[in-house]
Amino acid sequence: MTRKRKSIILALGVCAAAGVIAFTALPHRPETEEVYQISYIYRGEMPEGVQQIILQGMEQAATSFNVELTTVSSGTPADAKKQETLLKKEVDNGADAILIESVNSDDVRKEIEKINSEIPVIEVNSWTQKEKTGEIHKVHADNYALGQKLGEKILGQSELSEGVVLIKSGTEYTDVAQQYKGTKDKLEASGISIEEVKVGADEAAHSAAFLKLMRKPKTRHIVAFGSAVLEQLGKVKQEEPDFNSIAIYGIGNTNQIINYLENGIIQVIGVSNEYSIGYLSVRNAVKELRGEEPENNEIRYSIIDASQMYTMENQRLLFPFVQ
Amino acid sequence: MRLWKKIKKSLQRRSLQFTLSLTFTAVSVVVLIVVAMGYSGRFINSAEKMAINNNKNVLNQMNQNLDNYLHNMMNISNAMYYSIIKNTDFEKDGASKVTEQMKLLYDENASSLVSISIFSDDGKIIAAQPLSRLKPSVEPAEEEWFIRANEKIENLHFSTPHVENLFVNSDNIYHWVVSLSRSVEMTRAGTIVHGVVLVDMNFTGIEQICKNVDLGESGYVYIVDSNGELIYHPNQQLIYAGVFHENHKKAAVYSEGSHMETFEGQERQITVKTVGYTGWKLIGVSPTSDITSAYTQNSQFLWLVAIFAILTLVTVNMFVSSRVANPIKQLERSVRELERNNLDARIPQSGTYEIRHLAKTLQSMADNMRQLMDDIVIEQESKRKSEMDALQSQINPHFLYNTLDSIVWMIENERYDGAITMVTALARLFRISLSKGKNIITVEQELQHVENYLIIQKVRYKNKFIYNIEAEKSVLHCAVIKLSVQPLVENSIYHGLEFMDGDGEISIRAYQRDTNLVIEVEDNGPGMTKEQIKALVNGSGEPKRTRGSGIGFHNVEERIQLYFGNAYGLEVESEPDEGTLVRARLPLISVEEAEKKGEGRL
Repeated sequence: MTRKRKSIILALGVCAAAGVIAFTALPHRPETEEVYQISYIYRGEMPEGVQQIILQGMEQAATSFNVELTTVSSGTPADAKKQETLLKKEVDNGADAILIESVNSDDVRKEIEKINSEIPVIEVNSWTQKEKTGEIHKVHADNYALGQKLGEKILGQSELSEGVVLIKSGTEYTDVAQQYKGTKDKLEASGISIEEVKVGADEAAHSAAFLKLMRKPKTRHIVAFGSAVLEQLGKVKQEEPDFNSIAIYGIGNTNQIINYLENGIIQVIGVSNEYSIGYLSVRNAVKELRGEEPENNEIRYSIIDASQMYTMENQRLLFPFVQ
Repeated sequence: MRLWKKIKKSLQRRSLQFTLSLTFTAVSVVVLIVVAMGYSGRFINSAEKMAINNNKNVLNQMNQNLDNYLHNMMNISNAMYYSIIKNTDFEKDGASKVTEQMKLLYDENASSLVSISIFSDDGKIIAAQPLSRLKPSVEPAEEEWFIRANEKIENLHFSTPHVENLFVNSDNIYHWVVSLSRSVEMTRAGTIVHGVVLVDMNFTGIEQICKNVDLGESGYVYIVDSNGELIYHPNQQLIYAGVFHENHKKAAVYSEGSHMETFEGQERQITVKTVGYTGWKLIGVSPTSDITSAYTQNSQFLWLVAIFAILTLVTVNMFVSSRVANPIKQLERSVRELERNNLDARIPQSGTYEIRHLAKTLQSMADNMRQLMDDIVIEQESKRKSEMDALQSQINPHFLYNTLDSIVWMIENERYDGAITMVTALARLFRISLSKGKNIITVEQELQHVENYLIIQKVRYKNKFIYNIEAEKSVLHCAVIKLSVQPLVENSIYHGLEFMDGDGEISIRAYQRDTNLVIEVEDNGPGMTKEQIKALVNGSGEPKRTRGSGIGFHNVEERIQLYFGNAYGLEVESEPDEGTLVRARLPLISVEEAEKKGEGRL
């Protein structure tokens, strides 16, 4: 037998033996799916109201897509610098993707663009506005349209001759700014007199400001954007029977707001499907991580008054079916 | 058929080992592939059957759990009806008694209940637990559960999931519930009136039953009512939001058992189980990719095992075929050696018994052949020696006869001096001829022999020629074959000088040329034409000798070549009327060396 043939036989023998040993000795393990570390930087101190529902959607997606979700508060008031720092920190901590409810700031935008070149960044609910760019993926409702729908509803409500007060708070976040603009544009287009009232970030000072506002005889219609402001407004109205005649409208979703709506404290609310926003943001981040193209899903929204609260569609929107 | 012939022909050209390896391997591979395919097919069938059975089992188990849960709810409803309502006269006993009993019932089942309540047939609340204050905006009589209960009073009615919205809830908690409603008969002041009992089941109870169901990697179970409305789905909120889609409307009309459906491009196995009392259907969804991935993994494993088995078999086949074929190959190589006349080749005796036996036989045959060949060589050598001796021995009788004839003639003519000279020369001639039986003598001895011969012949030919013998001193002790020059001189006399009238001349010269000894015999006779030379050299036209010693040109050449090899021999130079020169070329060696060499050859 030639040396070559001996080598071939030896090689085949070793190969066969190795294969047999590998298949008999090693247990057959199914391929384990990769676990993605995704961080969610949200607005405020705690995930409440809308953020809570967004987080519930995210958690459902995290279960479906094998994601380990980390929540990070960007604090109150909105602070672009803090968000920048948090973005860098999450990258350093080894996040595979970042979801951020971003402050509308150029600095935050630049940081997001920088990070997005390394790992996927998805702007959730709120986003940084920049003309002619669409590179950063966003998941949010059409907040301007939502604002306009609310404006429409207000216009159909009752006598608006004394004008409408728009509470301007939280407009550093694009979602709120868009909702505000949508409502304002709609009301202005109908020639309704609008009073813009700015309230600061200090929530403790809101009650006093709202009380003062409601005591003005001219104040008959108030519109608030954001769950915290709307809830506080409802609380102030509930505590003072004299304010019963004041109509409150707003965009926000907490159980307390729903309770105020049901009990006639708040007349109309605008609600978007935040649960879907949360779910889709995680799903799109995972898709990007897997090199797939994220999908654009329409986020549903609705304008609800007390009489429509328990229609099946509104029930599903107001009370997320959380598993 | 043609292909088979081609294969057969191709195999015939290949080695035995290749044919054995290929045949064994081909058969093994075919068998393994057939086995692997068979098992793979069985894997697929059994995996599909297992998936279907597993889904059925899971759904059965889930159905049982759900059935227990719903039974529990129905038991609560029954307890309310038969233990509380039937035993109470609402006018006489008041609602407080009922409320107390309902509280006990609620507390006992608080984990699965959101509320239990009794309504009059006009929708007014009679008693409720744990909350009892209706929301101002609520009109129970307009609620679906109330209407359905009153439509079919003999049945229990289960609603689709909805948010409980009847009672004022100070803590702002909104529960998803499934309502169980039924029409009841109540006693009010001895009169039977109709009412409705409502049991709001906490939806989390149903969710708990459904959510931990294992239906493969991405399989799941959902519940629909008879209208296809979702009761439970793991992605219920996403379906409501339009993010996730389900084929629940179509699934609601599926019959109980297994079905295949393609939904949104995904092929899925659907298992349907109907839940008792409610008309709900449990729908188990198993994407076929899950099932196929399970058996694909097994199939891949099987095929990998088959590939390694094939490799192992190839290895074993190669090893076994080499073990079988190698001894035959060695045998074949040995036979080739034998064919090349290498009878000393040893034939390896390895392998199986038959091959060893064959090798032994061949070896024995080769040994016999070698023995026979050796015998033939010895015999041939012996024969050649005999021939040599015979050739040399041919000289003596002829020459003796001629010389004695001359001596007789001299004595008859009273030329006694001449006779004495001849007899003396003859005596010397014979002494040298004898040379103690040696074939090799020195040049000096051979030349003396030639001179004695010439003395005799000169007498016989009455001095018709003269002769001249010259030799370089250095060659005198060199070896020459005995009686190798004398026949050449004899030829010169008989063919060159015999017919001359006088002035014949024979010159004999011995000298060294390079590494050779050259002995020339030259006469000035009539010479030969080219054709004659050619005829002489080829031996075809040698003139028939009638006289002389009888040892011709070829005899001398044969003996030289026989003794010293073909590099040596005779050359002829001759021109008509110019004479002839015959040149003997011999190796320049001593007698001892020549004798050694001669022993090797003769």
